[in-house]
Amino acid sequence: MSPIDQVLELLRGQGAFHEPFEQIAGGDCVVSLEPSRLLPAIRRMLEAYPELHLSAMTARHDASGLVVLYHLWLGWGLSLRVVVPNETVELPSLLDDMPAADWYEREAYELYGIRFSGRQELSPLLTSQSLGGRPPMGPNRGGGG
Amino acid sequence: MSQITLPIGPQHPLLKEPMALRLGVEGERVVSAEVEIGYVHRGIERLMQERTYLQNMVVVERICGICSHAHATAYCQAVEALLGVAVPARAAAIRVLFCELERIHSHLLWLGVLAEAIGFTTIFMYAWREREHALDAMESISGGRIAHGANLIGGVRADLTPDLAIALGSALRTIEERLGLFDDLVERDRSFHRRTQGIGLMTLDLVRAQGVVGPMARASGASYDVRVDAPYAAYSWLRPPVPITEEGDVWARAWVRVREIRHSLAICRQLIVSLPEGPLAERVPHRVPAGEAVIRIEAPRGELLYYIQSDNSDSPARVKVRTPTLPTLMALKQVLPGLQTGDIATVVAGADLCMACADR
Amino acid sequence: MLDRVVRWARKRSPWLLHYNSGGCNGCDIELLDLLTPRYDAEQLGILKEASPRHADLLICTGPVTLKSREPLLRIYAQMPEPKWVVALGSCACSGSVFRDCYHVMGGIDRLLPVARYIPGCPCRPEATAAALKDLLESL
Repeated sequence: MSPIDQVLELLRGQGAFHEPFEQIAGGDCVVSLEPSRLLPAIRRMLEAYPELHLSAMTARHDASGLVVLYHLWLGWGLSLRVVVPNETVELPSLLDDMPAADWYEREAYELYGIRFSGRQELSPLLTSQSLGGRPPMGPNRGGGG
Repeated sequence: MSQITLPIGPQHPLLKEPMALRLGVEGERVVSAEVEIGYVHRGIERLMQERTYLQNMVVVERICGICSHAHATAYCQAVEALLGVAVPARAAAIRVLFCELERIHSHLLWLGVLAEAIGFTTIFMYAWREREHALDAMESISGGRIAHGANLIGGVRADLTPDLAIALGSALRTIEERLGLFDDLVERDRSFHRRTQGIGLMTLDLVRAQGVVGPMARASGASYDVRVDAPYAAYSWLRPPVPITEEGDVWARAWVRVREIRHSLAICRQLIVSLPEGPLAERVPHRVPAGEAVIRIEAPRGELLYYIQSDNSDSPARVKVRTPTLPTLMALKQVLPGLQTGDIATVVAGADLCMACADR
Repeated sequence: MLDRVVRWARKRSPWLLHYNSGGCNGCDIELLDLLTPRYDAEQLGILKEASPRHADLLICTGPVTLKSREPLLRIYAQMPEPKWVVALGSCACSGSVFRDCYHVMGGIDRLLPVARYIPGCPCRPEATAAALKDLLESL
């Protein structure tokens, strides 16, 4: 089984993902997950791949609301896509399992207003309080999408 | 013993760029550390989403003055991936030439800054003197010492002509001759050892947990180097050796970077000899089709990631930039506690932080 | 050119403080280059001083980010009179490519009185040296 197939099997075991994986420009595979499946999937992947590396988290707009992409590296690139349909939905924080997620979660909250549950308060990482606490890349603020 | 809070920055002689540390100190020992960034946050991702793909060529080089070409290369590769365009072999090689000259200048810059922080002003002067040759080389080819404008979407703008190749070879030889001084510093200088060995320990576990990349990670035994693990541009046929060691202290970070300078010089020499023939750039379509791209490259400080989403318009819908200093800063919060206050400068300087990159 | 500056500098040695209020670091490293062997600005009597309380010249690089506003004002307030502010590099002069960013106020003169504007992106060491010489002669 190819490395991609092994990971997909593992992710399937955690609950269905939305569509067959797609391969995007640059070579990363993208797999979509429900927010509730994210943490179990990450934990299962960490068991199978202890050297799993979180390169980055991208928050962005989407027709379906907000999207967070978790860009992972395990000898090849895998991005997990999680849709956040509206501001009331919180994503599970990965802080306990992947401490590297800390500042990326703070930045996603600060710039896009995405909230993460199960962790200490998300204090601003980059911006001045004079911005008034409104996410500068959130809805209607020129954040694209 | 009572604890006092030692605020450092954003303006402080110990820091080259603005950031703030709040250290809890008991006697001579750091017991806690908070890091505050954002003083150099401009809002570049949103800016790039409000500019065209072409205008962004100017913006992207100015995210960071030290690793400007790394940003330009990652950005171009992401756009080219969306366009489905492969740059010609000669362009891929010239991009790598600049990547390696930039690695040389960045590491020498860092070596000088570390040396200055621990009182070796002479080494600072020597390192920055040799660094000028790398800057001269980049300027002679592209016209720029710092912001080079070497890249185009589809290739490169400037060529390594035979005359320039001769001058470049001479510059590389000069730097290499003087590298012995820095080898001696790392291998044989007892006072350098006293100030850097066993100081600022970062375990491999901490590297993995915080996602630390680049020389910081390789000095603690991690092997990840994007040039080798996910080759791009001319790295598909160039095979840089990757120096790795396990001590995880400031000394190890110096050991790794001095070796990387030597390997970068060798890669540059190899490129002069084996530069592929052919055009400098590929024609590219005017419109970037809708899609997403993720690109990783090895900047001087480690893995640099660009994510671009295109919506088939003149401007990218989303540009995400993750720079290698960010995980180093996260790890620093755990490396600083336990240090003697006298070693704070060494560890902070030894971390090769780039706040312009981290804050964007 | 250098001889004239050396003679002038013997009459007064300006102590120089540098603050980066949001720049990419390009101008910073070119400024630091002035102290290194090829340019050797110390012969001009220019000393880099760490504390605002002893500085005559505040050399600012970078645009002013919203977060840098307070620190920059504090540094300027701590400098004793007489004092002069130099905007080094295009970002410090006007905000340059970052002028429209949500976290950027603009150039240094949005906040402080600027005695000299030195454009460049980045400003190369020779240009900085020439501009500083010019400023020192006019003081």
